[in-house]
Amino acid sequence: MYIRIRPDSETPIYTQLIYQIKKGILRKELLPGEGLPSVRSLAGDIGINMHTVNKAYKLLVEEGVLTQQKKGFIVNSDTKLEIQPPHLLLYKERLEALVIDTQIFGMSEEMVEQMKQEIEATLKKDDEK
Amino acid sequence: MMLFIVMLSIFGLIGLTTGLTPYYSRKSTQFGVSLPAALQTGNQIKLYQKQFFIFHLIAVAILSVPLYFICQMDYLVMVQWGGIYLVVGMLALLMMTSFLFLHMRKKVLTLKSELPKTELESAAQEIVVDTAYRKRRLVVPAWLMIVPCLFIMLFTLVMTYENYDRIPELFPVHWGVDMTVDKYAEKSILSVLAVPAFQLVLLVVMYLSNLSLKKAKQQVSSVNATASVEKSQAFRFAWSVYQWFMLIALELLLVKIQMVMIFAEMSINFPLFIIAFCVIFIGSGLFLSFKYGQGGERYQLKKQLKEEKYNTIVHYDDDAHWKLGIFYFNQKDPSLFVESRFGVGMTTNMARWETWAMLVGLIVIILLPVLLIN
Repeated sequence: MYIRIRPDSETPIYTQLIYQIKKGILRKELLPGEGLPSVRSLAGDIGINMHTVNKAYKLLVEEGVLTQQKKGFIVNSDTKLEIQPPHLLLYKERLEALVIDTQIFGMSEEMVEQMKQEIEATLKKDDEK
Repeated sequence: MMLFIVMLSIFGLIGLTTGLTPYYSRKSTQFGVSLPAALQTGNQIKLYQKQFFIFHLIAVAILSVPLYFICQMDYLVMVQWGGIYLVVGMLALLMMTSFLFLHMRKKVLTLKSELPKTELESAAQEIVVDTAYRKRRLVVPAWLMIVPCLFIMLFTLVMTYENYDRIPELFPVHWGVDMTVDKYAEKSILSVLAVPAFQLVLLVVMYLSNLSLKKAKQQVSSVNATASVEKSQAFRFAWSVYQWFMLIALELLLVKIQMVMIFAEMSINFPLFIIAFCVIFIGSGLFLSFKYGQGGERYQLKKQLKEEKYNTIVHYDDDAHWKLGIFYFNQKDPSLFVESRFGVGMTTNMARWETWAMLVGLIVIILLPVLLIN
């Protein structure tokens, strides 16, 4: 799969990395049991600090998306992931921020629904950009 | 006349290969500047490339004039001045290339700054990395370089010490441009080791070069990503194979040179043999440069991969880390090797201490054979 990072974005790089990997898993570009590049080689290829990659991998392990083995980080072969209470709390926080913005800017239900559908489409389609 | 032709072809080859460099550099980085798609296809860049090439041809022509007169002179004068002129001429050529490069770079930077902002913003702000890139074999494995070379070195050592008594007390170690010996070394257990030491140096240098092809940061275009990955992998493998052949051939050539030195077996054909050797390797190097281009950009994939949809390539604009357009300084980047910006091949990240340690280490081992002879 292709990891696409925007260094100038407001979103921190480790967060971008986490969601790129999760997206790859949803799009089946990363398969259960597949190994990810080592921290050193991925950091080198992106051109960022190794700590950044390590942080992203470690957080993904915490969530159960990846597992760490002797060979390195691999995609969890257990496909049924369950969100754990601390992560659920974080999820609620982020959702809260979105709900607040939806209301304060008076965004219509259809508008949000349309955006959601657009995003969902990118998680399925296996297109080359 | 022979000398004139040989020296002119040295100047000519250097001038030609550097003059052509912009053509086999990446389209997305010309004269050390990353270019947005709009500039890549413009005529202005083509004009600069042509000017760069023509200036090199003119320089070679100018350099050949004093050379011609030197070659008309007395034999001894010619031999002495010929060697000096070769060094001076090459330095002059290098200086001209640098000035021309910086001049062109300034022009390209101006062109880029004149572009409307949107063009620049649409240029990639994305770094693209293929997670499977390093799962494929990118280069010839290291053992395939090391094992044969160790055998060749062992053979050289055994041959030298088996015949140690036959080696003359003073043996030739340097030949002038006219192939007469102009420097001898005293025979000793250490001085006869100079060539095997050089074989070791060569192995280390080529090993590092191969390592750079293997480890260098991947450079994936954010449009046509798949095609750019395949091209880049093909590029690395082709150059690695080329370097493997070159390494083995040079190691064998050094065996022959050791024979020439210690048995004083200089045959008339030997210089011609070396010239043929250079022509073959420089020729095939040029061929690879044009076939693959930097990072495989010129390489034509056998199967067309949605390539028709886009005809440009876009790379992340990291000009801020490139000093003078050619020296990479990025403290945050753990990569030691990156694709070079001008020409074909890899360069190093000068902001890492490991790079400097490697350079110092290289200099030390390159001095090893020299120390052995003296």
